[in-house]
Amino acid sequence: MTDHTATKRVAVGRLTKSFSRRNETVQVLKGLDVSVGDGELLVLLGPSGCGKTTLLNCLVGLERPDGGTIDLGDRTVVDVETGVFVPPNKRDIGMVFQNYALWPHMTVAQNVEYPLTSRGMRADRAARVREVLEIVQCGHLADRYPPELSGGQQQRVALARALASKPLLMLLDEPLSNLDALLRIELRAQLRQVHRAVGFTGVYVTHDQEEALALGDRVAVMREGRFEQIGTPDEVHSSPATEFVADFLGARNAFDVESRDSGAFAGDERLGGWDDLPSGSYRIRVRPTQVTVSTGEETLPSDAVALGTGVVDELLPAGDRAEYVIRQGDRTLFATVSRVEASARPGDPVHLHANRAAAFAYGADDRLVTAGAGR
Amino acid sequence: MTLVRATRELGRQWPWVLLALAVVVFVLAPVVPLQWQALDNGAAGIRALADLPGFWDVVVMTLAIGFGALAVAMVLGTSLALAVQALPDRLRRGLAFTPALPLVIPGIAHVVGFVFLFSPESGYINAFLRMLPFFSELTTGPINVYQPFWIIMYTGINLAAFVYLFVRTGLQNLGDDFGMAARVNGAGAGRVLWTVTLPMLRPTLVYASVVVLLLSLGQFTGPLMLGRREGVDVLTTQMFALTQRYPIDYAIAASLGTPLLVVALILVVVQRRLIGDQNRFVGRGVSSVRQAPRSRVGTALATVYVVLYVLLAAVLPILALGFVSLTPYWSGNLSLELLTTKNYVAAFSEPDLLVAVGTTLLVTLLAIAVVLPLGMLVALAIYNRHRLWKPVAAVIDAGANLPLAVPAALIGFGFLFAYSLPGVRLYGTTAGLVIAYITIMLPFAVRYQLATLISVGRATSDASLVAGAGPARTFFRIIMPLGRSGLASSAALIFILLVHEFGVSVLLRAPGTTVMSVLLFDEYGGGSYPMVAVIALVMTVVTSVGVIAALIFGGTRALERI
Repeated sequence: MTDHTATKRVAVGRLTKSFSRRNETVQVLKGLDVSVGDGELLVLLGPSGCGKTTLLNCLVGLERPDGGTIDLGDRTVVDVETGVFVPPNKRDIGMVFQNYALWPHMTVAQNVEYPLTSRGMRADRAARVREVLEIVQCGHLADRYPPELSGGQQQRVALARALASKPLLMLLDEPLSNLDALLRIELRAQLRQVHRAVGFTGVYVTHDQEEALALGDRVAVMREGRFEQIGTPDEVHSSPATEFVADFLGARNAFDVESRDSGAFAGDERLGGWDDLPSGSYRIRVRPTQVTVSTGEETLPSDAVALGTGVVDELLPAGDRAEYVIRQGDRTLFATVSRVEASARPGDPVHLHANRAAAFAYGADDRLVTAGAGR
Repeated sequence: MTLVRATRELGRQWPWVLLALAVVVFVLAPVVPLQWQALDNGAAGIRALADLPGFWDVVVMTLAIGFGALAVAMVLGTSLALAVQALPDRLRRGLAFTPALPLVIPGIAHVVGFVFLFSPESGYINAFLRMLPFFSELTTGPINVYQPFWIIMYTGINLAAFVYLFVRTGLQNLGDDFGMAARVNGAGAGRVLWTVTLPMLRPTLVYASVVVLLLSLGQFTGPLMLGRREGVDVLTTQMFALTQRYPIDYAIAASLGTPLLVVALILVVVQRRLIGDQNRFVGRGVSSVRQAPRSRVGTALATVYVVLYVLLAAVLPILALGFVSLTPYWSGNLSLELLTTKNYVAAFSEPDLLVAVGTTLLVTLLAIAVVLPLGMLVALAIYNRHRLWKPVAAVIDAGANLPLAVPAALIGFGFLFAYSLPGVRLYGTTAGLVIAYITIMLPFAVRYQLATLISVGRATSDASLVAGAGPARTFFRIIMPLGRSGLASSAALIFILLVHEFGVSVLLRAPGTTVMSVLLFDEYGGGSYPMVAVIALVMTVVTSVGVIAALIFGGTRALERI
């Protein structure tokens, strides 16, 4: 992976934005700092209402921030302190809208040509339109009107329109969210290819963690107007910095553990393998796919930690895999296992464990305690 | 908000500040100078009201017509909308627009049509009723359209068309899903109506009743034409009477308008509080569930009800006008032997009517040419209000909606006064009438074009800005082409409303600025009823040009926006 931060294309500093409705003020962005390197695709990931679309609108100029700065290339486009605010049409940004926003009264070619005309690019417009339509494999659609296109085609034309004028920055606002699941995966791969081929700098907004991990050079997980973690897809997936990130990235199983001199306890039950945790209370998060379910009294593998015992409540088949719903007192845990391994039946007592590195422990400060840190 | 910030915002948004100022000047010109008269000398004008002979009777009559007509209109309009909703799909598509027809007939022609039907001596329906055994003893009546009760009924029947449109839109937005859910859970049709439909329509009903109360308290044409014979006066007609005397006592006449203005402002504030943002009421109109099958008896009853209303409120008045226009004199006799076209020949051989048609078209088209672009700018400001400094957006929004709350007669009188101020040489000029028309049409132009902007969609224009186009290119290349039919139908609707206009026109009348409605009023006063009928029909025909244009550009739902 190239080091994108070496040449910054976008720099956001201390960005704040709040909305007021009636007599209530909601702070949507709470002092964000982030930069995007040349050719990098940064994915903003978070639940709805976390501020990711607002950040995108601030970048493009459709929202006016209350505080902070935005630098684009070597130009400052927003500096609230000094009153600098460059309107969207003068920012040299391309954007793919969630519902594509193709203009229905213009052909595909006219749609794609529009940013070239408005930005006063005279040379070889027709050639550029053809070229960029070829990049997204829509060259044959040039004379059609948007309402005649399928959702996937509209999405690709919207991408071509955004790319056409070779903008400094590309913004993509949940561009795949209106497509059905199979098409989404196909277009995700295509988008990745286009990014490799063209090498655009982009910010991509999504609430779909798979999409984020598949597409991003870096992923920024947002929560209530702040970044919880910014890192490579691998980093955020295998070392989620906070419990929120772990939860959002699929670590659904949660329980509390108390580490004492005599060992780690979940309630009254002593759990083996957590020897590295310093004394204190912890919140544990584990992905269902990482939970191993065993019926017999096995010895814990050397790098594993126990997640306690329980009783199988349900076994839900799902194709090649199966999902166990396991009751542990008043807690419920989920384990996704391969179908052939699913030998336990409802009512059976089971032992649960996971690899220590796949069981995320968060201390009182909500920071990840990595395996081996306490030793 | 610090002073520095405020200064900076004002500096940055100066075009919108200018727009706000222009709107404020337009809408306050007819209100502030006149009300100043009422409040001058320690509100001498207002205090003199109490001594005005019959003042309290006038107040009582204004309230009686206001609330009486409100009640009639709400019951009638809501039940019409429910009846239309109860029709099977195909019948509903055919009949849904008909209860709105009274709005397409020029108000003043509509009143005259009612006079021809319900005048105690020569009204055609009265004559017909007297042929029935029950009323055979009578020589006049049984209905006297000149009396307060029937003036209230007339006003209510007329305004029911507004209520119908509001409630119908409300029902469409509601869809059939909620009702069907209640039916599936065991509720009968009546229970669905009382426990689901009406409670969910409450915002619509509140909104509609405030709008109709504003209209009914400010009624002018109806009371003026009907109330004259039996001496029934309301605030607006009393004000008009004062302007017909010389010298005009502006202080007292202005004070007559003050209570109307105060009530109107209170109602508008109440409405805002109760309803909030009006943009929420743009319809979705989708329903996933098919409606329940209709019973034959229910369908028949609903159809009869709707057809009877349309007959009474729209078809019969027009037929009466047509018949009178073909008779030598109006007698209440439906004999076909005397029919003649000489009224038409006479009307078109004299210059009065043609000049009035010309004046109407000139003033109307000039006003449209200004109010459409102005309304678009205001609509753009309101649509993008989150990007404007709040006070600027608020002033533009409130200002552009103010003329809707002020009765037309009061606006006309306000302009009359403003134009008579020293140095303002606008009285009796085309420009003066055009300015007044622009003011009264501004709220409509804004509302229609806001709807167009909303239907074009925000992402569509945002995409253009992001693609490097400035606001001007975005407007001409994206918004205009996509909003073309919306703009055309707005123009057609404003055309209809201005051809109908009477309250402002009659107060600003002068030899050079007599429009069709004012000419009709003159002929009515002179008692030449066949000529009145001819003019009313010509007005209706001119209007229908606008109606057809609106239907072509805006589809069958275009008229619902009146």
